[in-house]
Amino acid sequence: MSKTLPNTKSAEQDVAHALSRVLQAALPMALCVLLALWLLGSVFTARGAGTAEGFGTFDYAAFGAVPVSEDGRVKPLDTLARNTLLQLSGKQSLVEEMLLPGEGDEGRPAIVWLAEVFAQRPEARQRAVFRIDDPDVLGLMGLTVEDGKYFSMDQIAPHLKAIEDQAQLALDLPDDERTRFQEHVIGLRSSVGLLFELQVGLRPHVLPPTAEGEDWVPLANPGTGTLAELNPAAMDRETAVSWAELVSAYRADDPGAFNSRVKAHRRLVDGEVPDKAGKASFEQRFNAYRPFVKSIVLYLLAGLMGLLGLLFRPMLSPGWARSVWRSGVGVLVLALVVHTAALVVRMWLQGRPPVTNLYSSAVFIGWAVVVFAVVMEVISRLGIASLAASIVGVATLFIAHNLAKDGDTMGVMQAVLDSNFWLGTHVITVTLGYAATFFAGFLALLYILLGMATPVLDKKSARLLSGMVYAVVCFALLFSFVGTVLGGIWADQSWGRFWGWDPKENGAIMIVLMNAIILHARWGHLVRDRGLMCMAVLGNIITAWSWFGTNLLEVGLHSYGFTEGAMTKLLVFAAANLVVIGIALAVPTRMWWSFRPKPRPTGEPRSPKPHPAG
Amino acid sequence: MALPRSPYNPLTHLASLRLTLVLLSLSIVLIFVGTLAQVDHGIWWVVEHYFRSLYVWVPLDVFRPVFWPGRETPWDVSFIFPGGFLLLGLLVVNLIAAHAVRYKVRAAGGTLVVGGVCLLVGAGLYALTVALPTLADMIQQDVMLMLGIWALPTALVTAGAYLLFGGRKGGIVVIHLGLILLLLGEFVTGLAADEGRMQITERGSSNVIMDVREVELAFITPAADGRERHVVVPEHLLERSAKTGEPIEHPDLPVSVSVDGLMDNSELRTTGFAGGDLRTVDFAAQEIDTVSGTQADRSDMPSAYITLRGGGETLGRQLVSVFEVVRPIAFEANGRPWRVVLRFKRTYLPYAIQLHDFRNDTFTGTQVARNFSSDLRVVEPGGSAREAYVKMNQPLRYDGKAFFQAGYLQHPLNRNTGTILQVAENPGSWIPYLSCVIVTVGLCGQFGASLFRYGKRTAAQGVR
Repeated sequence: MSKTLPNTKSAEQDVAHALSRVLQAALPMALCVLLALWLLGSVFTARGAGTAEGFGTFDYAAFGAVPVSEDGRVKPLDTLARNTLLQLSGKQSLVEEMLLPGEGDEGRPAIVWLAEVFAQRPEARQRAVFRIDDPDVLGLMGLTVEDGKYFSMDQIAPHLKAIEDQAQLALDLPDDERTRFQEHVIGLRSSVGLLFELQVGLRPHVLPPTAEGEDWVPLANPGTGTLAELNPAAMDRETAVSWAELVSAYRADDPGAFNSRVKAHRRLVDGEVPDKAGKASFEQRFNAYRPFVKSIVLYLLAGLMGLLGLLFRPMLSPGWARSVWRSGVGVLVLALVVHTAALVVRMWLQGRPPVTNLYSSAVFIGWAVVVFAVVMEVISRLGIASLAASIVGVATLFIAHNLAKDGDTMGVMQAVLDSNFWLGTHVITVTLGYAATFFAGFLALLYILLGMATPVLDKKSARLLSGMVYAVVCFALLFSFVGTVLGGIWADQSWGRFWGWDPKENGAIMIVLMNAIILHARWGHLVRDRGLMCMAVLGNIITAWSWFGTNLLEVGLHSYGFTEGAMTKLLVFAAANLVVIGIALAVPTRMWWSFRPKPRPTGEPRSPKPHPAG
Repeated sequence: MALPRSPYNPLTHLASLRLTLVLLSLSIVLIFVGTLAQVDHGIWWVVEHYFRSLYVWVPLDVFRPVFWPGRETPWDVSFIFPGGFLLLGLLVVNLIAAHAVRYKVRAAGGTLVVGGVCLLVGAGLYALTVALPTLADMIQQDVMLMLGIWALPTALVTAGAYLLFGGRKGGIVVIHLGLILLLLGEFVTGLAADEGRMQITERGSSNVIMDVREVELAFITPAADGRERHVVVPEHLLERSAKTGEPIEHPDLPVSVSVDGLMDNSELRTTGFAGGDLRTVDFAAQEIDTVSGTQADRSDMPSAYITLRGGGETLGRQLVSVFEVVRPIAFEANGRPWRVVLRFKRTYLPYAIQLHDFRNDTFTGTQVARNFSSDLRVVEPGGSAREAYVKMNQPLRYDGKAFFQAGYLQHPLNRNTGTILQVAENPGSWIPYLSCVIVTVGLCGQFGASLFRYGKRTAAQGVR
């Protein structure tokens, strides 16, 4: 530090200097304290936020916490509302297009819509909650793309017969022979069916078991499929009455009665299944807190600060450079805290290890990369590991957000996958392998981009970064190899076949081989830093393929929902990485901005040695 | 210890690290195209042609699912590519040559002796765990126990390798030893492993294992004391007859058979229905695409049209199929009744397995399976019996075989009328477990050492 002090004895400058040191220390602290206050404060406001206020005096928050059983899992109505609306419209709340005249333009939570559906209120039929993109499906209903994206039950109802006929024709075909139109018709039909089942009381299973060995049951009789006939199994359950009362209070637009009936119903359910009710209530608060959205915001902020800190480092005094670096890392750590808490809460709610499906793998990969990065950042203090982590954090949580459109993100597990031991060992290890390979790949991307387009990657940083990529690849090989072999052992334990060459296994072994290639090339001095980076970027493509490509092959090409067009996104990602590799190989390193031979400083002889990257 | 490293020594070239990289890269490409090929072909077909072969002709069409969604007109252009066996074989040669050329034993004197003894004792203990039959059984049953038992020999082997080859290369030697073991395991599996399926109806019993990858044509006639005599024509003979048109003849066969068409996968349609009894429905079969690897949980259902000729008269062209709704062909020859069926290839066990009860639990309000389980009883010919309970992730291990819960038989009218067990037999199944332990220890040792060095270097540079 001392050598960077301005060499002066003036008192004014001393004061200015002391002041700037105080500011430098205060900036990261103030920023982190403010953000931490925001995060903590939202915990207490989460329940009310966006649920109760401003939409009449109905206590939607209390209603949203009512536990029900749906798709084999007990969850709060709030989760059901969000997931169902997401499946129909791709949105988690009522957006402007779904509001009715006179409701203003402020969005409303999904639970409002679900209450209307249960109560069979006219608004439920008038809200445009069905998203239809396919022009041919719109044509079937006499509409065009100019009529918008969202349509209501009232608009669809006259064409139900035509939709049903077309869907039946399509369902008779094998999956892989259906056209895009037919896939969309089937999708629309199942959306309509879903809404119908909610309205008549077939879904969800709202009545909790009253004795050992009993199960949750729906209100309507599954045999006849209408509310006209009450489910015989529901007859003697007290909760059937309280539920019916709260629904009719809502239908009668009587907030006072509704709010007291909700309380009464929840008391009854809490008495029957206290554990599940407690979890459901917690899950509703978790939903309202939106931890992953908060993490995305924090990652973006950390990334921005990291990028600015890197680019302007040459212009900043060392003190300020460190202050900005600390702020960026502080924000990253806060984001990691929220991310970790959300991961732990999901594990507790589900009673399972963190990775159980594609959605949770995205959440976990992002988390693992940030953990690796924080460790690396503390060792290296370059600001590059945290920048890479911010990028991966935002990207994976964004991917997870899109994957959530496929349904409940905490759904039940198929029997053969239902093994917490293997989910906790094989799945975690192999996912850590994905995460480490991505981390190495993104570090390498930053090496190439920063090295070429900026002057910030000096000799020492370049050497440290290359050592970091090497270390991360080592871990990637360890995790991907052990994870892959554990997968084989699971398969051997579950169906007696260690290795079957199926697409998912092949994807995993490709990652192992790629990491092995990188390490062998480096050990044999066959590549230098530039080659190492290009190979690590190649690892990005292979990992993305293993993660998504193999799933895309399995579900076929005409799948509905997020996976549609996902192959194109995968190809764009691969192409972008290939372009970076191509440019990195085409431009000799002495022409990279960071590695350009410096003009000879006076008094120092020019170093005869070449720069480290080659 | 190491051989001289000169350009005249052919091992130097075989040991080249460049060769390793080329082979590993080619392996990645092979696995990628082998994955894509599963969109069009069954997984076993791909394994045979891509992974257990010396070379493979890869059609350019395999890339179309990724890059061109429309796949109506095939391009019919192929390129040749090295197969899995070739790449694997060369990798093993390359690895062994590399160790012969580049890995010097650095130890001398006492270290050499101690290292050598560690290595030998470790290897001996491994051999002991595997050779003792009771221990091998225990290992099969309990993964954690196995890890505990292998801890000591693994520690010895690792210590030996580090003592002999030094801190920088010891870990690599251990890793490569484990990898060679893993490849050896796959080799043993390829040669000796077998798998099939067993179907048992509720309150029934079975001693038949079916291999759904292969069919056979069975001629069945009653024999003495209530038994049956089965004369079986294997699939390769059926295929040859289908190709050449020549009839199959054998002294044990009552008639000669010619195969007019053999369909690897087929679907049935009804052609005639006399009314009343469902058993009078007539069927025709038509060939459909074989099940591809990406369509999980389905298997090919072969059918064939055959002509039987005996004593100058022909019984005409008739359908045989693995679909059970197709009735066997019945005829008489030399005064004995015969029936002919096409069925999956069978193997018979010397004991029978009875099914008491099969349970299929689903999650509330869904069709998602929560658990399948079967109450079984293994009955030996002598009369001794053993009860067993099999469910997902919990197989019955008996007679060197493992019986896994794989699915259930569903009668069209009533539910859950039987169980389907996957039967696997693999004498080398423990090898990957051991290999995993060894490689993991080696990787941890190697990377732990690098990380330590990296940390020391970084600290020495004193960044900021």
